Amino acid sequence: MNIVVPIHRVQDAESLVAAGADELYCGVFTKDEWCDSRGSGCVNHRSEVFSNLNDFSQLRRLVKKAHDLKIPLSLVLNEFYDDDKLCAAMEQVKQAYDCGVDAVIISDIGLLRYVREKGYDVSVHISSCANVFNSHTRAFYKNMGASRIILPRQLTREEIGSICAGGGMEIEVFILNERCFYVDGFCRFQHGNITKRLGAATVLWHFNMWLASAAAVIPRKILQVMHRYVVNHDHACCFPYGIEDGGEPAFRPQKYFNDPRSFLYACGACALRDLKELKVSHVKICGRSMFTERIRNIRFVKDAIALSEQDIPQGEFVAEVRGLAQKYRKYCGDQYCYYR
Amino acid sequence: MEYALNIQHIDQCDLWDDRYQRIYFGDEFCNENIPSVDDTKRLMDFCSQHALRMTLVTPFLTDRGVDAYAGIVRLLSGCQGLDLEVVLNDWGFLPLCRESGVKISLGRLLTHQPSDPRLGTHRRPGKNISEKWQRIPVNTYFTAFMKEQHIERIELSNTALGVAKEQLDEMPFSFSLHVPDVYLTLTRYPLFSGRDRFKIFSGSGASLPEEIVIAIKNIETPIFIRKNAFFYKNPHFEAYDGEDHPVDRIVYTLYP
Repeated sequence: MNIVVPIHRVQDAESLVAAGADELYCGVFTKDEWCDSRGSGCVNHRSEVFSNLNDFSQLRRLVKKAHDLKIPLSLVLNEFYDDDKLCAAMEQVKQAYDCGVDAVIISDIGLLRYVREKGYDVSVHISSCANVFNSHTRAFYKNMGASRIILPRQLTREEIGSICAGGGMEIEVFILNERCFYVDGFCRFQHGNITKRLGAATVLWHFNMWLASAAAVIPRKILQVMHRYVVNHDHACCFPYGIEDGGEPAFRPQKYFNDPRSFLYACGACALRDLKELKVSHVKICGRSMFTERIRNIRFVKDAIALSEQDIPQGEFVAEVRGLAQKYRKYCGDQYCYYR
Repeated sequence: MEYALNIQHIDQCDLWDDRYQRIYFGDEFCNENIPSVDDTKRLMDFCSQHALRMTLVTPFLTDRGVDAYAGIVRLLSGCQGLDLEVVLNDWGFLPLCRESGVKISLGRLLTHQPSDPRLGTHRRPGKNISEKWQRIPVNTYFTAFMKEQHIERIELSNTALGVAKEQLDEMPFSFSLHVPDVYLTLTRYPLFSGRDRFKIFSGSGASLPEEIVIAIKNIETPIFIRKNAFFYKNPHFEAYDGEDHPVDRIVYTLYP
């Protein structure tokens, strides 16, 4: 079982691979796209500049580094496009192909058709945003030329098993971080850049190229606090809410659809053994915008996979994984659990 | 203009009156709320009795859901004289629809129409970004694919921001507009079923009404939750109700 890990800075590749990453994935959000698409998001599902590489020279360097380290790199293009945005996405495919990426992660059927019709020799991975909830949809994407399906977060183990049973495709599931209450590919909340409450601060956070560069030198603890503050108040994933109480809605800020902590630190490690039996081939560590804990995350999943391969009773395995979670300072409990 | 009534249960047929020439039947968002074959037969009888056209609405589907809806579509497609249409919200269900020869309409879950209510109120000085948000993310390659698959219609929400008429004019499809509920997002299971692995409500959800209005910080528009889906209301659709507009069907969702 391979670990798929996000990356947003070229210089991180070696340390991520050394920690145990078997594959890397990244997005690209160039300055031109940033200027053009201000207010409408970028061509992947992360509108924050710092969650992405910022030009294709970085991608070229990253591809070379990844291939030197003998691991594949995927480019994320997991949005849905009208013709204007499709042009930008097609340009990214072309550039990424020239750079030598191994795969593109796609959710738009139009873009998938474009990649296959133009004969780009790259693998196509179907994003979780494309919402493959059944084996028929898996077969549909296989017929369209995809080689891997990334399953949505909300499936049960049994449903994952039924999708895997058809065979013939790699199956990837989420294993760590960012478990949203909403089904990602069906969510119409706009993510980022439209908050009123934080106004300019959020615009800075999402779009400031300088901040993207500065992120490399800002202490990570501070970045984490900044990130959490913006995520909590700008992303619909973690909005606090109140239920209407006899007329006027009563706002109770202590209530969250996604508690920010369980959203950020979700985990499915104790299901690894089942996932392997179900023929899941890849597990994904989520969070292209996460700055901290990345090495610790990979080591934790790597160790948990090693444990899952040992010949020990299931109860003992789960207890050992919980011990690992403590060792790596990960949260464990119902509200954090991907595959309870 | 064709007017349709959208119902989720057979007992909502009582809401029909002769303003509506078509009935949408089924839940577009919840794969736990699958109509029974018996209820579907009863609706077919109702439609034939009142000379109505019928649209079967399907949500995203697990394998169990595909099997259940496959039975219903086979039943309906075998009926002589029934002009059946299916609203498709899961690509895995497409081959079965094609095989059955029913008309296919692209559902709101697959249309990916931007509908965040904050988009309607957000403006940057000197920049009107709303036009971008009025466009649905359907591109030339996707259009060609849909035509190949004989998908002839697209379902739209009546978003606060409106729809780019010029984009719709250029597309080789018919369009339906759903009012007054504007779809916003959904969760896997109905929120109060207790099946999601989230700690949402500290108390029992059993006493809560079917439709719950909530306030979300940063969103001025009241949001309401029905089963597993989130909506806001926009009852104004006068702009679409003209002869020359590509929207040629209005679909009402009424509640008793």
